[in-house]
Amino acid sequence: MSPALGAVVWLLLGPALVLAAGPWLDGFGRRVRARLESRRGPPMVQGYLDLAKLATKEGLVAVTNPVTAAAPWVALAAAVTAGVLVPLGGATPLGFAGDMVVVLYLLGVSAAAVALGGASGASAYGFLGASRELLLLLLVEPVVAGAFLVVGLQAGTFRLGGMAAWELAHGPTVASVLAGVAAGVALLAYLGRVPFDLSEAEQELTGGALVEFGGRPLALFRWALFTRWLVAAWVVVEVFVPTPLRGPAGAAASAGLVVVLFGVLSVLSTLIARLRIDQARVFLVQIGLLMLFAFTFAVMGA
Amino acid sequence: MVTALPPLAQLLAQWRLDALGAAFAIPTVVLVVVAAVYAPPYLAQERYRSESPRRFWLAYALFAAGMLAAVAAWDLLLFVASWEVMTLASYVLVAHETSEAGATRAAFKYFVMTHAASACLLLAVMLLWAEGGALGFDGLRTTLAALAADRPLLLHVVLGLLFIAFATKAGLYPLGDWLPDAHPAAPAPVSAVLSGIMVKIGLYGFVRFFVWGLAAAAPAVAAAWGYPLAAAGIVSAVLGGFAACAAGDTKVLLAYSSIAQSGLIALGIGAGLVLAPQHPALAQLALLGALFHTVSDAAVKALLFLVAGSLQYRTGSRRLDAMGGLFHAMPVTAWTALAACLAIAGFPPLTAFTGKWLMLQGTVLSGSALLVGAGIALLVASVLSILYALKFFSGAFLAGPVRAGALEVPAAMAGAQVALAVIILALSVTPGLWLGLLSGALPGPTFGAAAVPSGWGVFAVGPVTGSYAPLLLVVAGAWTCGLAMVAIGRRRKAPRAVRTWMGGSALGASLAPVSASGFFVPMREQMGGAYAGLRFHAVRMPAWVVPSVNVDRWVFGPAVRAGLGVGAALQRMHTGTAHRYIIWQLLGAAALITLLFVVRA
Repeated sequence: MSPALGAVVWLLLGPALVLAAGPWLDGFGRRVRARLESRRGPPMVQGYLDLAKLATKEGLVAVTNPVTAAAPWVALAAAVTAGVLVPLGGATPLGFAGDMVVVLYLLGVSAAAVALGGASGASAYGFLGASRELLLLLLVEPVVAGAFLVVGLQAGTFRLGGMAAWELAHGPTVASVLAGVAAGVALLAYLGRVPFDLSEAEQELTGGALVEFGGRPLALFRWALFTRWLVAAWVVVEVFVPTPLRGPAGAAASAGLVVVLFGVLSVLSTLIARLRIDQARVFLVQIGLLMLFAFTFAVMGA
Repeated sequence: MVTALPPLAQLLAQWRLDALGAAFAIPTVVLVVVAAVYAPPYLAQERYRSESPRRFWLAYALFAAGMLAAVAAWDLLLFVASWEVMTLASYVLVAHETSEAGATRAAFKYFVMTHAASACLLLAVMLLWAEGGALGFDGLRTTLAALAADRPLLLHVVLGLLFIAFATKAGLYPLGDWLPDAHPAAPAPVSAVLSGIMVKIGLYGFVRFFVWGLAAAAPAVAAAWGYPLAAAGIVSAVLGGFAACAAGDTKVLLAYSSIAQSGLIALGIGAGLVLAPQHPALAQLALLGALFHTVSDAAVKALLFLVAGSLQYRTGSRRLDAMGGLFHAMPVTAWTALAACLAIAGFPPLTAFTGKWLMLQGTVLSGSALLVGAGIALLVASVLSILYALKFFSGAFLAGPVRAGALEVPAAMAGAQVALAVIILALSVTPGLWLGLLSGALPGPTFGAAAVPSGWGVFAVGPVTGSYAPLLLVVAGAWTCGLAMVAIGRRRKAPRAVRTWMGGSALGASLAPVSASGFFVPMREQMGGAYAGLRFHAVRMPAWVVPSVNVDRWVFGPAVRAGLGVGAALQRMHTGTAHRYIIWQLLGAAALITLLFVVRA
């Protein structure tokens, strides 16, 4: 298949695949958690069922303006677009459309759309949730991005395909292992999972930034969240532990690694109690130091 | 050594607009015209009634001419003269609201600081003239190269003076302290031009003298000066970002944001200078990023200042807390503000992303420890720009109860905003086109040698170190929305409007108020005073850190005190008694004669 044709095919099929795969992770994560708590847990397709149920509910809106109405769509579109830029099975059909920085920024757009939705209207709860969402973004974004930049620095490029190829050719280095650990740990916070679900903790009385949303907009926001889980785990896998397999086998291997990584994250979420926001700050600053060590090693060439 | 001044005819021939000048001149023309369209209804407000429109428009025309002349001058003396016209005219514009004491005071601070900088510029130019014997830019490189070979110390003095002059104009920390005072004081269209273009003329000075002139003449010296420039840039970007997050006044927020964006551009220029000898390709990326960010921030920041002006025009306030829920009341302003806020936050596919992304490649991929650190700081500054952009937009247009009524500004003001928003979108989706044009503005052998990287299309940018195609991202996003819409099914009926949930109680919104300043309460608690007044206690900084970043304390305070002391001493000397003046004259003559003897011997 010529590169141009491949790009068009992936542009058409990729979003559908990313959209379809995200909600499965929700069911999987809840099953893992249930098993650790000695429960049966919901079926693996629970994520899809939840979305379908929300989509049929009547919409109730307290805020009517076009930006608030568009926010859920933007959140979903940005996360999925980030997903189609990530390599799959060694191939990057749309690699020319965006590199690692673009992917991280698009995931940031998705998070910011949630905050923008929460900050509209007169709800103090939504406002507080949005504010916490942004605080978490300020703390975690430089850590995650920095960890990716370490590999980019060593590979000499921000192109995801080039970074994965470099990682394959040169094996894990001190810097990339440290950066991988930092990224993996920060991923919990990046994805807003327990113990970092400060803005929409289920223990809280309110629903965080999304308190004013219900029905279809809420379904879209949830869908965007699932997609962010998928894309972030996927890009970590492709950059830090790329598989040497190619084609469908490579794609399957990467998908397996994504599931394993997400399973580990779900176990951690179950075992760790929710942090207060100041504890989260201390924790993330320490992870940031780890990332800076990784940078030091990368600059030294180790 | 000293040559005669060139005759007038020769003087007039010393204008030349090369690609680098054009990169600054074209945005100048566009912004000056757009702001002039915006200004008449804005100046018709009650508070400006007592001011003379003739004075305003005369100063405005001189200001525009001065800026254009500064980038078109091909001669040191003309450059200084245009620079001075620009500075004086902008002082008159900042002080336009004469009845407001705060505006006059801010304008005075602006006057004093920029004229101290102008004095440095004049001195530097005189030294260059005395050493090189030529005033034209053609001889600039020769002069700089000769200085680098023969009198390196004098060269550093000249460069230091130029650095002070340009950094003051560009608003770099700590010399740009006039900016947060002058921008809010000036009328909105003037702030838009000040921040959109005039601040960038300072950066033009850096590019013209340090990149165009020095990097070609003496690469090692240029690389050495790249470090202080990049350092000043990164400090401005981070401190300016924090200060913008803390600001509760729309124009103060935007002024600090100007400092931050100016700092990012300075970082790009500095990194380009540092990288030029070893990594010309990366240096080119950093410089192109800086130039593109200059052009894009000109449009974005000007639009944001116009929006702030429109908000003030309708709400009568600059405080974000006094606004909120204005989306329905001012739809055109809100949509254009959304474009500008998302752009300044650096979100792809909008425009500020491109420049930051290129500078990130230039810094991080160089592998030099200092530049990698600058790259990480650039990330922090980018996240801060997301925070203050969202604060500005949600604080003014979304948060709080919906404001009823039609408050949209007059057509001329709204039209000016729409024009700038269209320019931002055009810059956004065709980055390759503009970067290709800007790469022609980079000076010949030093930076042009790396040529234009491959894969530099109109809609896409693809140097070997990264790739970005904004329009394709939009297509993918739209296709995603279509698929999701199919999957989620058609909406059965329109959503029902309900009241905001206030925790189950029947209390009104007034008891749980939502305001822009509340947006940062968790952040203020958690980040300590890392911004609010630069109190660092919560992150447990040593006690000396806070006073050490206080510009007033260690730069301007002592300067003012010294000036007052000199003034008082002079006052004491002038008692008005004639024989004392005669004694002074005799003493002075004796001192001069002695000096002459010493010099002769």
